[in-house]
Amino acid sequence: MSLFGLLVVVGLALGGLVVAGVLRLRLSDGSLTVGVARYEGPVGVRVDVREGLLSDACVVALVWLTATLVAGSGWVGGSEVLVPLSVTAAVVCLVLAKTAPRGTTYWLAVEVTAVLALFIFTANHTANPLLDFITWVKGVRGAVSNAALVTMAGAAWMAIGWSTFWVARKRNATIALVPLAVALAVEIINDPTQTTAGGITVFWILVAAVLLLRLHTARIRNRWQEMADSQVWIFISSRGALVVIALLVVAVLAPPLNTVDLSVSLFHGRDAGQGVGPGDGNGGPGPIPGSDLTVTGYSDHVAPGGTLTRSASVVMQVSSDFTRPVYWRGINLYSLSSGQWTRGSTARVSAEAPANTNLDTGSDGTRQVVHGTIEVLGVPQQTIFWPGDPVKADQATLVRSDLVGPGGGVATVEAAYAKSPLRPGTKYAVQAADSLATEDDLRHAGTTYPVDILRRTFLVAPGQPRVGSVTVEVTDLARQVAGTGTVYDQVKNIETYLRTQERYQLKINAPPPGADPVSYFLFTSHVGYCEYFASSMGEMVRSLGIPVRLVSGYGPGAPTAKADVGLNFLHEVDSGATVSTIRASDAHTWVEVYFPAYGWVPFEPTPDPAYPALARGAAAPVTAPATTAGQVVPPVAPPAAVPANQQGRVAVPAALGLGLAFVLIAALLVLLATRIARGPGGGNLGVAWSRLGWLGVRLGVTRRATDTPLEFSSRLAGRLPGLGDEIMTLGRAYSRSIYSSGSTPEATESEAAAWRTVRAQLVRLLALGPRGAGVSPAATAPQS
Amino acid sequence: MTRVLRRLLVAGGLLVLLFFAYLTAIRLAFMLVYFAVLLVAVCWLWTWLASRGLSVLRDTHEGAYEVGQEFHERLEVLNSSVVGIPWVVVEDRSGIPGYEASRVFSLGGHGTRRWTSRGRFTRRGRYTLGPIKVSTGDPFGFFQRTRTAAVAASITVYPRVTDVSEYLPGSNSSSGDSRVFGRYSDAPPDALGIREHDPSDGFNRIHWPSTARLGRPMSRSFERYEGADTLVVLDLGLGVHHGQGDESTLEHCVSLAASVAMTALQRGQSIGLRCNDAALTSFVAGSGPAHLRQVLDFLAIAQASGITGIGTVLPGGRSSQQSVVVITPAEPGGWVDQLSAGDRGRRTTILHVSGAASTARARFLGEMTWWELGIGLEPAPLRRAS
Repeated sequence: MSLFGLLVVVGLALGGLVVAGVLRLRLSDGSLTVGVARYEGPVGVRVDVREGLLSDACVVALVWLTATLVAGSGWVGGSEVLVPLSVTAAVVCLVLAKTAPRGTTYWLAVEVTAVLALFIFTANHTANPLLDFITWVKGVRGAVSNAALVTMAGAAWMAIGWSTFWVARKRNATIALVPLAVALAVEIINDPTQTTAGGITVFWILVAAVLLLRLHTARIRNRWQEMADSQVWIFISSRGALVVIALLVVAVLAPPLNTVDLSVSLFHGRDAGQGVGPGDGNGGPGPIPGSDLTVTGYSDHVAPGGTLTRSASVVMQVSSDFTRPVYWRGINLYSLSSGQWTRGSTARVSAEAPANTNLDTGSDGTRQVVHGTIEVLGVPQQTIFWPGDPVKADQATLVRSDLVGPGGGVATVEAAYAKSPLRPGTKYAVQAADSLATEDDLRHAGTTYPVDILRRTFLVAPGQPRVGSVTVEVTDLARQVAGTGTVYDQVKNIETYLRTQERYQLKINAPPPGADPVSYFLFTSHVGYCEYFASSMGEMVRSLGIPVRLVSGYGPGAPTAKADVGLNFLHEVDSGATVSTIRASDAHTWVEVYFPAYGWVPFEPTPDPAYPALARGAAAPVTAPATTAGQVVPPVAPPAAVPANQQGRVAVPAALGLGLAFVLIAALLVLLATRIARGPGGGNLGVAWSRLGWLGVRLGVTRRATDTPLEFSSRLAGRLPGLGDEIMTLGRAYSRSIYSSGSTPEATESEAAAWRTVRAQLVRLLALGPRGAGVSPAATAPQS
Repeated sequence: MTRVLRRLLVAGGLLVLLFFAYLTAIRLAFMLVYFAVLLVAVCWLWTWLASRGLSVLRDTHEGAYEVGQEFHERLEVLNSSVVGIPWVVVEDRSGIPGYEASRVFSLGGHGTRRWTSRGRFTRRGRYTLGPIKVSTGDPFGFFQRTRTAAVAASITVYPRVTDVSEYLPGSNSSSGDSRVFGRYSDAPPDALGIREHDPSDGFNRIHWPSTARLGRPMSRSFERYEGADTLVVLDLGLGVHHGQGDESTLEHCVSLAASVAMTALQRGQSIGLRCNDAALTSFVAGSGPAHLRQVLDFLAIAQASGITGIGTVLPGGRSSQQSVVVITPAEPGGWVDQLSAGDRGRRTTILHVSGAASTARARFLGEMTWWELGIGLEPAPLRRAS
């Protein structure tokens, strides 16, 4: 019998007992009592279904929000199960908290239900639940990933048990929120890349505020009951809500105290890929020993794997004079083996290239020189990054290249490294070449590939893929997708197919052991990240006999707010260039296809919104830097629009935030001043009299030390005929109050009404003075 | 978890969050820490301002009251600050049973809240009105500040006084108002007034100044016949009384003692009181309001604490001018014999409070009058002399 079947049988049995009258359900006065029929009294379970519905709903919502955020990071494979599991935990624990007679019983029940729920949610179920359970336990003990998931889910269940206990039993929201708030904070600190995190956090805060207000008022209500004023709940809730909203606005608008990620300098090796040097091979995305956890980062090889987590570590700050967002090249990859792309055996470190050595063969067609400036941030780096094909760098490098180029010299530089690791803060300048070929150019490029290119891309001859590196089914798919057009059209079709038919996602299940990752991606999972898309396109294009390579590097990054740009880039900022911040999460892999006479042309198969399809053709530099002789001066092209998703990543300028904060504070001050000037709405005679004194000063009717209240009222009323009766009423009332014995007498209804009338015009009269009072300047002369 | 520890934990948590936000430069983390810090700061400031601006006035009347009497007092809470207060708990810590002057309400800036609290004294004793604890805080309940106002007034609640004249010996008439048919030497020496002379009056009763002024013989009239001392003996032995609260024999006995004292004093008698409590409290005979207040003050707080029997406080010897009223729930025993041994010429009344009796019955043991009184009997209240 399957688990589902068992649950159905148990449900039917319970239903039958209820129908037969053995179990009795009774709903009265908001309480549901489940009892045994033959007994009366305390036998059974009583749940107050009405008590605390709002606070219960808040707890469930908070749990759901927190779980959604945690699951969104995909810390472990299959962590999406955390959301339904946590919501179930919240509901179950709430019921237990309301029914368990004692705390010990409650925690025992929570643990039992936790194990049961973990089994239900994370095990593979067959017809034999017992065998399933044994298998599951063994699986948890055996597999690190399973253990990690179960540990995380178990911890979540316990945390939820804590929160529900303190809400439902102890009615203390502050302590109840501790584990959920800690989880939220830890999640935000460790994974700031989720686009929904901001919205979830704001919603979380609002729900938590509702819970705090609700339980606080409930605590007062339960303690004082009929002694409490019926309006106090409204007052507390409204003031609390106002405070939360106002503080949220301030918190959102306030500029951060720091904009540079300092964590990488404290935790070396956090993103080891940035320090890749010659021969050090691995780095960046890769398995963390003992778990499935991986983080984004630069790597000198491409090996599609499991879930990736975005790392927000800042890697470098860059600027280029290209009018389009540029990709920052780290290394070209040619060798494909078992689904992995590597630099290949023929490319190795050649020799040291002195500073400003021209590394470009210049043999390809129309290209534009792009000037780039890079400042190393975070941890030391050795790889030199280029905004295109390397041309020259302002410092000596170790060049990795194919030595068997034309003339026996350096053919194409595949990667370059600094002679020693560049420390954070180091700035270097590079020049690179980017293709200006248009779509028409590329369509007419033909297929006459240089032999060197064919050799480097492991193609024996055009149209003949290297046997063994590409599966037959991938080749079939490529032919089917590519169609029969020109090479460019075929490549474009493949790119379009991948961008439209497959789904971009960081949280994925790794391919099964032994499976080809590209085949798994193209025919089974259909979800993956840039390595999957680039590898697939590379294999598909190569299967058609077209020279192709993968490039590992960084995407354009996010534009840096001017206020956050370092001193190293003042010159670039002054010249109008855009400065961008590159983070480890911007690590990227893309595809380049070789077109005769035009060279390597990039393609973007990854449908990540951050990477739109690449534009072709000429583009003018922002400034007009001196170009090397013989290079093409490109035509001016309109600047490319910043992608919408990148616009959203632009930080709110600090000045704007400060300005809004000042406006808000000013508005609050005005509101406060108005409230002070108007005084209380009730019949507080002392304050009312004080405000009349202010009014007198403003209107030139000063209160003399010898004045009785009636004398002063009389003179002030003379200046304000429209309010004369009210002012006299207030004067009499104040006179009565100061001469009466004992406590201050209450204002009568007519006196309170008089004050309301005066109060309605008080701010206007105070602001405008005699003009607002409608009296002539002569009449406002100081009284003798 | 103490308040200090809780605050340290909150502060520590915020600092850790701030540290990591600064370290990682994550905008959302900064937003979170800004919000949390601002929320804590605003709530603390709000609580502090609210607490500073609050003041309480209590208008009440201290003094002595009687069980069953109603009373009222006026309270006023003022907020002198411009900041509205989300909640104010005015907690009255008076120990008066059944009385509750506490309130919970909100106050706007410069707001005032007044209310009148009414109650009825249900149990004798000595109480204080107050102290009053005024608590306030932020809307979320993070912070709370409490101020305690000084004790406002001291109140003594006397036992319930009822009309027990029918249980007491003697009449309400004054001696000498009518002709005396016995030895006039029995008459007490205190003159109350003058009347027309009767031939049976002795010469020593003639009031010569009045006779001279009026031109006819006038005799002095003397204070009432019952002007002789009345000794109230109240049984406060431990373990003698039964029942709890208002339904106990103790409360009933104390109420009877107060009633007897009040009735006797209203008749012009002087009274004394003897109790077998732990201190063997005894009041010598006296009259007048001050004496009555002394007796009632004691009865307001009297408890059954004695370890000796009632026999230890019964009057001995012959004192024919004395009335003795014994109030006890104890069953007849040696103390009755002790009492009857010395009661010749003395008026002795025993008010026996029994839980079982439902009516008041009188029987006579020699010259003693034995009243059997039930707890449930509720004699009419005694009208106090103004």
